[in-house]
Amino acid sequence: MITNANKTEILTGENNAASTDAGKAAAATETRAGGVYVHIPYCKSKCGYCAFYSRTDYSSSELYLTALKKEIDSYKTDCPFDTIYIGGGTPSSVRPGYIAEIIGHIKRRFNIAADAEITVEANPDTCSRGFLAEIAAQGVNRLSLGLQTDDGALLRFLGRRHDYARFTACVADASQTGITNISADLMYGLPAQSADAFLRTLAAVCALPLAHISLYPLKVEEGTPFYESGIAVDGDLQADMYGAAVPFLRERGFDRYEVGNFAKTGRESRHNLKYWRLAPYVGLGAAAHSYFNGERYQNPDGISEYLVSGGRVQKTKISKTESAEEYIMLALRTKEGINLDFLKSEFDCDLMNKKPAEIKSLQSRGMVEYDSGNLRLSDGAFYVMNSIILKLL
Amino acid sequence: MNGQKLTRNFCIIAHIDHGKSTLADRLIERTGTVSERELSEQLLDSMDLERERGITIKLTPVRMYHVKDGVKYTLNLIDTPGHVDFTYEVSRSLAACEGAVLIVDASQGVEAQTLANVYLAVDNNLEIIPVINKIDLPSARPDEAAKEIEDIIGLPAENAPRISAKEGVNIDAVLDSIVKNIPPPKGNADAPLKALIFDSYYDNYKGAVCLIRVIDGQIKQGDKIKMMQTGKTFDVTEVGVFSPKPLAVPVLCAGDVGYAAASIKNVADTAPGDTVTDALNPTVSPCPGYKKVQPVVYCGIFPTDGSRYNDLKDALEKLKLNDAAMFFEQESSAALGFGFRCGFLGLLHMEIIQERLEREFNLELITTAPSVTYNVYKTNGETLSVTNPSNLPNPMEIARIEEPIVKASIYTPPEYIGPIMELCREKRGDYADMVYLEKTRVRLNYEIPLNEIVYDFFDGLKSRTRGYASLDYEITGYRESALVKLDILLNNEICDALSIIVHRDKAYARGRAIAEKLKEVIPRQMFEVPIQASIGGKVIARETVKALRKDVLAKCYGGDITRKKKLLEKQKEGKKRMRQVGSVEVPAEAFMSILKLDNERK
Repeated sequence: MITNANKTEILTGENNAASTDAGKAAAATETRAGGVYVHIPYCKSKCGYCAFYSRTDYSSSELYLTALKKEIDSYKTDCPFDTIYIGGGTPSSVRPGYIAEIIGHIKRRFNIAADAEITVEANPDTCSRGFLAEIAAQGVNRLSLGLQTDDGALLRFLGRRHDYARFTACVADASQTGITNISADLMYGLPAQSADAFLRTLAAVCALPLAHISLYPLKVEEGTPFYESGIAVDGDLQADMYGAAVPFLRERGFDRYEVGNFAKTGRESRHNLKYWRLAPYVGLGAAAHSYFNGERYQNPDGISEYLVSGGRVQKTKISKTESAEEYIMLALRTKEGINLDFLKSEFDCDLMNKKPAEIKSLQSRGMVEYDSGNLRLSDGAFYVMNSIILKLL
Repeated sequence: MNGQKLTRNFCIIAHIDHGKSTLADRLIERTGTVSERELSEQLLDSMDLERERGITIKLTPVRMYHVKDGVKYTLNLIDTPGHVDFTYEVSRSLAACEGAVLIVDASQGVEAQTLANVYLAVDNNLEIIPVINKIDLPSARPDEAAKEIEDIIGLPAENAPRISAKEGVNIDAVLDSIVKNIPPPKGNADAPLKALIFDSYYDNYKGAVCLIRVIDGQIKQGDKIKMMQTGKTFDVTEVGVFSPKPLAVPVLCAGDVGYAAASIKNVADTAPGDTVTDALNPTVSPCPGYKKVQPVVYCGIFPTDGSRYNDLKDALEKLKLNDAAMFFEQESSAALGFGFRCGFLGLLHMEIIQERLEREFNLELITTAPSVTYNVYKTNGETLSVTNPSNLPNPMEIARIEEPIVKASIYTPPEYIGPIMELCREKRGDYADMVYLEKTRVRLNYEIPLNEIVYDFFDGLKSRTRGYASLDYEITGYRESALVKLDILLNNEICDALSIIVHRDKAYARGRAIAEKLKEVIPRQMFEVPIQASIGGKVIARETVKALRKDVLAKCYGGDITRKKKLLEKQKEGKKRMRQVGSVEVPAEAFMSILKLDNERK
């Protein structure tokens, strides 16, 4: 713990060292408001596809709460923040009052804007009226629900603990509580799921009072039960589904503002946009990541490791070249794409002059578009963006 | 000097795996040439590659002493490579010996390769001592092996030592037999110096070092010597023997085997087969010399990373220092950039050089399909020697093309005659004859275009005979043939590195197979990639690599962009193994993969 305290001091010290180059770069970045992310690494049960860190044993959760508060305390910064995002895991699955304590602590320690976007993730099975009332009282104004699909058989296959009726009830309850900015996560490319079936699911959820929809293709990652049981995905079918979903959602008022995120006007996730625009964010808790003062920090993955050593264990300074590559890779995910002036002024990267032949060839093939200072992917190119990113790096 | 009478120069002939290197090690050990401590398995195969593959590539001489009946004899063993590609090296070492120990595996009997080398030895008037090895194996049948030696080769084998080189059983009998049966070298120690160069190698300190067998006279430090082929003269700085490490000695006399260094800068000045003589008092009768070896198989070798062209050049130059048989010249390909067209003695030789380049010089290579040398007669009377399909003139300008033909001897148990004949027919082979060497062993002779041999003949033979057949071949001449250039187009552009020369009748099937194979190995790109095989502009086969549909990174959860970065890094690395051919990205392995068309038979 002593070493951790020292580390924190050093980090805090660096925050003030505005005379260093990194400090200057960071100062420039920090003119933009940051976001705070909190990871709640607990779930009632593990889903077969999930590769994120979470545990089903809640016995460490009080110690974890103490450690979280301590990590929050370790930040001594005046940087303005205008988003808080409580993710997981399953934030709705911890004891009553738990999430409220975290949000309250963050608001006391960080410079949180009055109109901040405060999101909490919830699973329909644990998203009770009581829970909704508790978070609404803390100023939570955005709810992200893990629906995944409306098909009962597929929900069971995925290992989800709710049915579609429970989800619609949550949406109604949240609206009633005053949380009207509601997002639903949906998966596609599931075994035996047809493109038509997927569009029917989309049609159903579009009829609900949702402001935001996130779409994720099923990805079978190593180490997951799905991987072990040899479940395969059909990339071409996923591409078909995605290709059909984009115009389908657009017609219903959900505009794609990032490759997998669709929102009604003005309802884009302010928090998630920070990741893609290389705005600063602070990640708290096990397995959380931060980008702050031009540096990336990584917290320990495991709960016990986090309890022992605290946060920001692994620190990586990001060079300008690297930052430029990160920005290209992340900004291309968004509707507005790469802001070339920003790329040049922040990271000394003059992309149009660095890769003229590549950009020209991509343009002629209709993969990218350029206008009003931004280089962005064409409508049909989002699903093959890796190849495009690689050409631009 | 009566040393000459007490000297025995010999080599060992054996089929691969019959225990040649093991016996060599045992002899070295038994004669106390190397202390126990210095013994590493298979001493003479000093290259990693030789040890791993259990084959000998370079000649390695070693001097040993053996005492029989109170007399100390000097034994010079010249190890020889076993593979057909290196037959020329075998003949070189044979010319430096008076005898050969013939190893026959007690469980496998006489094999094709053995036979070919025995005939070489007989041609060189060598005394042959048969030895039956591996008597320790449960499957050993030494009596039958002895009978095979007598029946097939026609050598008396009644008293052949029966040994186990592995277990060290009966090694003395081999040594005694060498002393008793192999004649001492002839030659006149008082005559002018006459020494045969049977190999050479480059040493960073001593320069090009000649491995020599002194026929007449003697050679020592300070002598002024002349290379009789080139007429160049040098001052001898050191002579020595191999024990098995180089060991300087005061003098080498008639009958001796050893080395001579003379600050020779260029390995080309130490050509195997040349005769070293006294510059002031030259011999009147130089050694007959060797037939100059010509590469028979060519391929393009390119660095995967184009910026390592110079590294590849340096590496080839270094290998060439010790391998006069290898040939290379600069080549540039529209698809692959700058590289080299390299010539080899055979497919194994090619494979070994490629492997050494990759391993010893840490290079990543792209190699193109092997080709042979075609004689092209143009309508304007010009004659061309074409080793690179890209250099084949326009069909309108070609009057006729000739291709090299080999005499292929295939040794097989009789039950595989049918499949082998079928294979040879598919490979445009002409049946010559068939001989029953014994009840269980047949030799099939065919005339086959070398072009077909380099194109997966070995794999075909192996799979159709479950590995029981073996092949020997030698080029017998050239024959006119209906050959065409088969081009491969990627996204409507010819990829020069994929062009091959094939017989007209096989072009259609080959083109289709290559297109199918390329469809498998070329990854999907952002656009649809047509793959076409064409002859003289006429498309004969087409496949399509569908456009890439999905190539997107998962969401970055909670701001964790590290996974994404790692994935991109991995893909970036993968890109380095890709070559941009026009607008298409082609993986390095695609250029060789067109040789491995396992479904061509269908």
